[in-house]
Amino acid sequence: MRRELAIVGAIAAIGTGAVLWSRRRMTAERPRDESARWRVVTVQRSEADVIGAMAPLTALGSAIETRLGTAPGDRGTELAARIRSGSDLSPDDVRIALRQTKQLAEAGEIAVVHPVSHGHRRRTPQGALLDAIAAKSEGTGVL
Amino acid sequence: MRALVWNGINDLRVETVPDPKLLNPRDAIVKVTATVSCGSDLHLVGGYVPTMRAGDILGHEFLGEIVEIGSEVRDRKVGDRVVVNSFIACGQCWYCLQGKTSLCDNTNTAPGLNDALFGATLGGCFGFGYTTGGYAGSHAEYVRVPFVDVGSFLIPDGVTDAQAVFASDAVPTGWMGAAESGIQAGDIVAVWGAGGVGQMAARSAMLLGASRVVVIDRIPERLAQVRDVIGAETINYEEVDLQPELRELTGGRGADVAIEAVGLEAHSPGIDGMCDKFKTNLKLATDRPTAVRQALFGVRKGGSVFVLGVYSGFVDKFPLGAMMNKGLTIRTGQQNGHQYIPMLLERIQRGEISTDHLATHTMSLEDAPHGYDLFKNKDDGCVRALFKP
Repeated sequence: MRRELAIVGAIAAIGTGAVLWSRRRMTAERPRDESARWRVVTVQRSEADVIGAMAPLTALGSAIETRLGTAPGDRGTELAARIRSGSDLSPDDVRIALRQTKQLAEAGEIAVVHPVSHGHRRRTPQGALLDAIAAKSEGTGVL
Repeated sequence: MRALVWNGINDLRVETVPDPKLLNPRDAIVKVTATVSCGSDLHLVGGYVPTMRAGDILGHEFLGEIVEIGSEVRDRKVGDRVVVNSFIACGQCWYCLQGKTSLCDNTNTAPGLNDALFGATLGGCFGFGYTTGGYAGSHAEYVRVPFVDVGSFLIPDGVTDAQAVFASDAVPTGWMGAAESGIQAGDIVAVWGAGGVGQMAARSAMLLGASRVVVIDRIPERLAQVRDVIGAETINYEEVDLQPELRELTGGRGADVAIEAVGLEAHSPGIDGMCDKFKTNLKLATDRPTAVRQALFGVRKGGSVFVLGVYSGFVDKFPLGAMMNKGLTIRTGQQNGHQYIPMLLERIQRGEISTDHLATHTMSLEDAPHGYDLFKNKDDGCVRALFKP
């Protein structure tokens, strides 16, 4: 069973890596300084509502700059943020703050699962891999 | 509380686990009174969708009684008897407002994983691992239900647990496949898969005006249910040559609409099915798209195909040429049942949709591992196993 799980875990890791690699290849024209680019979410709310929910972004202080604009097609507001030059903030911090602001503005709360009910957590390769991915995934992605 | 826990590939056990707690203001705790096995669970149990962590609670199709609510819950109260949609939706994002609740922007707690796999993030779902947010499943005595005022639905008087529980997933999934595939009055509809979702898709197609509905499968007991309860025609693909049989049945045209309700563990007696199984057994491929291929070939020129079966990754030998040159319309998706469930519960209440025959095996939660054995192996005529925690 452990061997099967290890194989499944390895395949998942290889598959995820391959997708990420291929996407990186397909987007080779992106700016060299990845951390400095704007990151944008569309929020199905007015600018005023978005401003009222920006606590996760304002908590990052002067390390970031933000901008708001009307989204096309009656889709609310485009909210963007980027890291100012010289800041040691990571892109993950900005992604998380943008996602949380969107959730607060639209849904009124931030989705959480922990503490989650679960049974005995055996140490397995797949479990270790998934835990690592899950821990990282809140701040990663195409945003 | 007691819960059915995934411990590894084909290793399910009932364990004592912590009770769920309210974590957000729009949460509720639901005491589960009925929860059923679903074909998509088997993809998790068998490791085809490798996003379950040892210890995760399985299950996503359920109903029960609200026993605790958060401070911001407005339209539900303690004591309500509700069926809960398997997908978790905020009800306020652009996708939810379009009715595409399975695509909710705000309920998946692991967006990076989804972005890497799919290029975008799905909504959250109960008991389906990290792909859909890592929420605990419903095969338990209690379950935490986020956004309960969006995702739970009051069960009408006179509708039993065994009837209503399928309004959580199987019925809205089947209805969505039929309703959103553009069925016109008089159409001939072919449905691949005679499980719960396939049967509900077939019944929905009939209610939406199809002149003939034919369901394709290989399990005699399920095909008998299709004929006797649903009232549709059947083809056993192990007894006939499927494509000529389907062509003959449709006046030489092919089906106007094909609904695929099989998913990534499809079986087939043909060489393509054998190759698919060989590759997935060796972990060289994630999915077996046999039924999708058959649907693309079996639908008429200019027809419509709805892929309801769950797929997780990449497939080989996808007939892109048939799809393009026949001018097909392809629609897909996890279920967006929130918009349909109240109407479907009324149809169940009026007897227009029969569901309780799907629960061929009813048992206590303690017997759930045995229930999954029956369900997975389709032993003893098992269509769905219903657990009563």
